[in-house]
Amino acid sequence: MKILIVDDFSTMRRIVKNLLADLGHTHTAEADDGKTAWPMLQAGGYDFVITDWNMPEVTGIELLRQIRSDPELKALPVLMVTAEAQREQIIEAAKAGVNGYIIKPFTAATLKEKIDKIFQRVEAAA
Amino acid sequence: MSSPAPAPDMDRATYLAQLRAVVAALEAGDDAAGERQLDQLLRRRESGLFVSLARLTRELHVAIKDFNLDQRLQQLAGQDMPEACARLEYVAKLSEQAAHTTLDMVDSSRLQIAVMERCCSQLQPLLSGNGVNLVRQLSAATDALKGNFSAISQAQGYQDLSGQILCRVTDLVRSVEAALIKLLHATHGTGRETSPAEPLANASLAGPQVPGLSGSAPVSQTDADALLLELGF
Repeated sequence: MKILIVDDFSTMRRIVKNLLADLGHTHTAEADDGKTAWPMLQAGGYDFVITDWNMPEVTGIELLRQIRSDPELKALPVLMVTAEAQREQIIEAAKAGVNGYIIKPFTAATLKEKIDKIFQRVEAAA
Repeated sequence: MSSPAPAPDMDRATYLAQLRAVVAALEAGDDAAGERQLDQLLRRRESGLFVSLARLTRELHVAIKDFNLDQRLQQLAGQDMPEACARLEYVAKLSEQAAHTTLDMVDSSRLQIAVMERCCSQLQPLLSGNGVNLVRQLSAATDALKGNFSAISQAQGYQDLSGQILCRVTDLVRSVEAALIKLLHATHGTGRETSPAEPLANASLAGPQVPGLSGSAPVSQTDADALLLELGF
């Protein structure tokens, strides 16, 4: 499974990458915001996106909307991992079609739980 | 500060005479003349207001100059605030470097742990008796180390959160700096030219939670999960 990690902070990308490696997911790529991520996603080959919300240029919510409105990518599971902890933001992300929402700081157990849940649903829907 | 006064060229007697003229015209049934008189009176009063406003502006300008505020503001906007931003950016950069150094050490240690794990699994079949026990202990210690390094890696997430908070503060300081420079231009026509502050990035977002500061209540991961469940997730 190939995972794209999108975050403007390189330390957070490394942390998520390490946690994914602990969970057995070693096939990952990184992008520093939605603008960089978009051509990578369009090139294809990704099974899952983990994105931050607040980033320069194209934000995580904008990237999510772009993904959901693209005929090729619309079914791609997206997990939002963000410091935004306001109710309104969570509702906005849910309306935009996010598959999971993690508030920073988070634990490895939370990341594992959300990823497992997302894939259980994806498999059940298939 | 005084209340708006009649125009300086308009004394009490003229003022009364004009008012009487308005009343007289209206009483005589000459509405057009009455309105004309009233218009004249109001125009004079307006010009009095403008004179007062101009005087107030001049007084404010002089007051700012007298208090030497412009120099202090110029120092703040032209030097102190950009320096404060540079310091905060340096703190963010230092914490990022420190987090990367820690993550480098974690990556390198994880490779060493992988070697230890491989050695343990290769040693186990070669040993018997107490040797097997020792390898089991070594293997358990290796697992514990692996968990510790994972926790150290996660703990570096502070850099992302503190970096985001510092970014918001520097954006705010830059906005205040731009506002001060505008004020200086308006009152004195001077002030260091700087590029206008960029609007706050994602200003509508609340950003990371800061204890005691968050306006509307932030939610926990448990609250977020409950909310998503409510929304059918």
